[in-house]
Amino acid sequence: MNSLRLWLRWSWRDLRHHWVRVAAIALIIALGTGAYAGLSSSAAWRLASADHNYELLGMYDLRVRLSTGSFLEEGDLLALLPGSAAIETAEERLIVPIQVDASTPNETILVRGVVMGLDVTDDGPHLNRVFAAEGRTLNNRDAGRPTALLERNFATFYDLPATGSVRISGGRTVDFVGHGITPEYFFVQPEGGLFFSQANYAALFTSLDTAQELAGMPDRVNDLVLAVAPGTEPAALAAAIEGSFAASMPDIGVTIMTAQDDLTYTLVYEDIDNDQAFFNMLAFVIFAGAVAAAFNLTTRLVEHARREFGIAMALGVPRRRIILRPLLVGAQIALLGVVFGLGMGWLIAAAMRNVLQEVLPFAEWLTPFQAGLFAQAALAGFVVPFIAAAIPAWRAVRVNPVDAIRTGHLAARSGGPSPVVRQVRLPGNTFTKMPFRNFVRAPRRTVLTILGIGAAVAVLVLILGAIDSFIVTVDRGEAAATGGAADRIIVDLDQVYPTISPPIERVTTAGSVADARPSLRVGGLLVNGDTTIDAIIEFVDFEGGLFRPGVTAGAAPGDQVGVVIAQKAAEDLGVSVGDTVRLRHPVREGPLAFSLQETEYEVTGIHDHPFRFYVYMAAENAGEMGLSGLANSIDVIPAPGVEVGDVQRELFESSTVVSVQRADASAILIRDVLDTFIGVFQLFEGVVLLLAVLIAFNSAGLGVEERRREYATMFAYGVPRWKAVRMIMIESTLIGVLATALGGAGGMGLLVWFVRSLASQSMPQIGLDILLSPSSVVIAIAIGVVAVGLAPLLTAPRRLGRMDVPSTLRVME
Amino acid sequence: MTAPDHRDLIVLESVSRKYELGATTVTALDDVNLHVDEGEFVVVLGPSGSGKTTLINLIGALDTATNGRIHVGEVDVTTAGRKELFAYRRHLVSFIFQSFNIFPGLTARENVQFGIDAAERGAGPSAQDVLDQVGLGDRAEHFPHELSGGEQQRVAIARALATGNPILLADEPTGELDFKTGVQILELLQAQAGPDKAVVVVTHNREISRIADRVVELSSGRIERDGPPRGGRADVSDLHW
Repeated sequence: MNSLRLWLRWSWRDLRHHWVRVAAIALIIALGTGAYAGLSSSAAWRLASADHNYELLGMYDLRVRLSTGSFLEEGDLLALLPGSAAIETAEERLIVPIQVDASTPNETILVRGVVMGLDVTDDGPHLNRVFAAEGRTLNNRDAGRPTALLERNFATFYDLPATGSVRISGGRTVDFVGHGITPEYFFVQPEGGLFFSQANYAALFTSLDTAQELAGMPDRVNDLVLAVAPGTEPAALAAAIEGSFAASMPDIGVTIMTAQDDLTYTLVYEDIDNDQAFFNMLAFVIFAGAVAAAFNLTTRLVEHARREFGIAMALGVPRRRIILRPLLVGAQIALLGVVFGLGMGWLIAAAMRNVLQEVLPFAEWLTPFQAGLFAQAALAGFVVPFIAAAIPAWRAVRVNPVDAIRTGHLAARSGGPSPVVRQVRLPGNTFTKMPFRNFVRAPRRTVLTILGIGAAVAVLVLILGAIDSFIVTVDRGEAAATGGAADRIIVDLDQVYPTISPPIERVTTAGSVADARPSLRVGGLLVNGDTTIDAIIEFVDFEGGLFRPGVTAGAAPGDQVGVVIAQKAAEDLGVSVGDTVRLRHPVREGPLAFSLQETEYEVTGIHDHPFRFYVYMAAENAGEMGLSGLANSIDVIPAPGVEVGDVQRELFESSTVVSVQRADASAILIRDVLDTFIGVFQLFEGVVLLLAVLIAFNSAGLGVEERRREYATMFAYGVPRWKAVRMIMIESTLIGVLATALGGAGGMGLLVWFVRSLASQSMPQIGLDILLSPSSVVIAIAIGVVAVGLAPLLTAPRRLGRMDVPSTLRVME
Repeated sequence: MTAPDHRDLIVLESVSRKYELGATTVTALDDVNLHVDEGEFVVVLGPSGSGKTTLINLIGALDTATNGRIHVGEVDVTTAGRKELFAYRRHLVSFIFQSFNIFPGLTARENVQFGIDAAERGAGPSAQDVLDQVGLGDRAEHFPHELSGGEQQRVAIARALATGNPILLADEPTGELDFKTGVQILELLQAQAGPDKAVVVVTHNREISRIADRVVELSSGRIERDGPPRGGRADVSDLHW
């Protein structure tokens, strides 16, 4: 026991002797373990909270949607449901597009949106309930009154008060009595639109009666949600419902959705898995860098004690006891790293909790301490550095005692660069050559240092590249959306109208409008085999329209009927120009009735928009869908000097206008979303900067210590200290250059994986470009080369300045 | 105080060096007076702890005297500033160490070139010339770990010679070498003492002192004797140890 205490004390002294580097290594380990524990905690919270909130708010099992523009009498949808025994609860809803004016005295807020009429009788709705995050919930007394809950994401984005009023299309005023959270709007992702659309999309949750009254559609419904009875298979019930509708109302298109078909539901869960994979990757790379650094340090500590090991072996101390000391040092470093890591994990988790609660407003968040994850991180954070310490320690005690004791030129060590190096003729004087020679003198140490810093740079390149890739894609989307008319505005109408009709003339003749062309845009699905893609089918005049999509491959449809689809859609569907795809599209059967039909069309071209849901057809082919001579949208060029807000305000008075948006609104929206996340990304930039500098600092510190006699010799020859520091910085910069090159290549590999695999699953609608911008390259170089090159300034001048030159020169070892 | 005349390359006047070790004061050198003239090959002899390394460190401006004055050439080492001392070491003195201290990352030729670069010497013999001079011309492109101990010390001497500095300070230059190699090294050092140059060798080996022009014997920090070798000056070939 006494012996163990001695070894513990001795190892503790070793630790104290190297405390700055030990602390740095512990911090490096902490960055890895903390990143894993903290980030993974957030994924666990999201999963638990998602399950809890879908349960709490009663997510539907099945949803029945009538095709756009189709409505039924209240009660008809319920009546068409087969077998009441299979259904636990069912509620009809009316969902109609509107335009919302939520302008405040300081800001014009005119967005498209939806009014969602719900059954609020008997404390309803019972499915897809609306949780009041602010204000109060709806009740029986709200039926028929112009009161609503304003969707929480939208209200939060614009910092709207808990209660107030908004105006909707037709000049009606609706009082909102709170901010509502409902499962379909955990993420705001309007049909055919993008997620995180809260800046451009407002949902109003109100009573069914009120929605009917606001839409001017008394007793009409177009949507139904239901929960299946226990033991009922949702898919079987869905098939039965589809059959029932086909038999009773063949002219009306119906879509039956499961919860898994809900875009938000899918995104909530898929995003967790993808984010976890992303977090794991980040943590793994950082942790790998930490392990390389820990291995490097321990190797050098062991080397430092080589003679002491030899003496102990010569005195007959068993090797297992000698190895105890470096192992204890390794254990202490690992333990310190774990303690720091747990603290860092807790901090990262706390930061992530705040971001999550802002980005994803569940009704209730479950964020318990993830003991299991922290235990995993602690175990990995302890075991891996400990093993890294054990390997060099074990190697050190396997030599003959005399080899370990021997000093001077007879000491057993590799001592110098390989003979190959001598063939490399370096320019300049010896002060220029020495850093390069030192660089290759201890290849294993150099490689480990490069790996550590390279890991940090790889993480940085991944993060910066992800931001750049999003931005360049958004830019491309913006250019594609404007289609040659930079100030184009899209005015959406509540339904289709003849191209020469009062609702359209009200827009084309508006004072704020310089030019206007009616157009047609309908929802649909692209199908090939088992793959289906949501689509917005837009009929455009490829020759003379205000908007002419750019065709990057193939051509616009000529004489034959065809479609121009996005590159991403072509890739996802596995088709190319000249192939055919099936398009499930509405066919107008009557003024308020559309059926769904599937037609095969040739892909005549690929357009330049990164969003895969845009499908362009020639305007003259609108007859394919019974929509010839009709329009539900108008492309508008504002009059000179007129802003989008002016057009919005003028057209808002028209009850048939539901949306007035800039053509590049989606691009602006994604930029807003990116801004939300860039802060988090910058946090990681800080982490990797710290990681790279810590490793470089450690390496430089160890380098100075190991070569202290060389520096002392230089000083004896009158070489100034700044020249020695410059040599150390050149060597560190060389390491930084190689680490940046390695990390850059690795980071680009990770970026490709992230874009092609993770982001492609999280955001299937977007065909992301892959880019690392010149400014990001500069940042990576600034951190990987400049910061690493400058890191020795933190330690070398002080150490060299404090050096006792005569003593150092006389030290035999 | 008298200024050194043109023959005196090194002048120490009443030099002391004391170290504070906790509460204890250790006197490494005590009131030492010493002159070394150009062309002299001086051996400073003494047992361990006698202060001989402290003496050479003070001459080389690696250490500072507690009392007294040290003049080397035109430089008053005791009053010179830090930058001046660095310049002094670049241009006036060169060190040879017991454990060689050559740079493992540089070849033999590059190590010698270091001496030229450090002294900022423009003209003079090349690194290869100096290596030829010490008999290592054919080992110029070898790294230190590829050389024997004697060869490494010869590289160290070549490095010191390459500076072209007038004063060569050698601290136990044969301490790590066998007899035969040690003799070769001493021959090399002895050959360096000449016009405008002086060599000071510190050793505990009395046998080495036999080849010196002068032997300065130190004991407990004081000069016990300063004069020609006891028994007269011997040739290198007469040495035994």
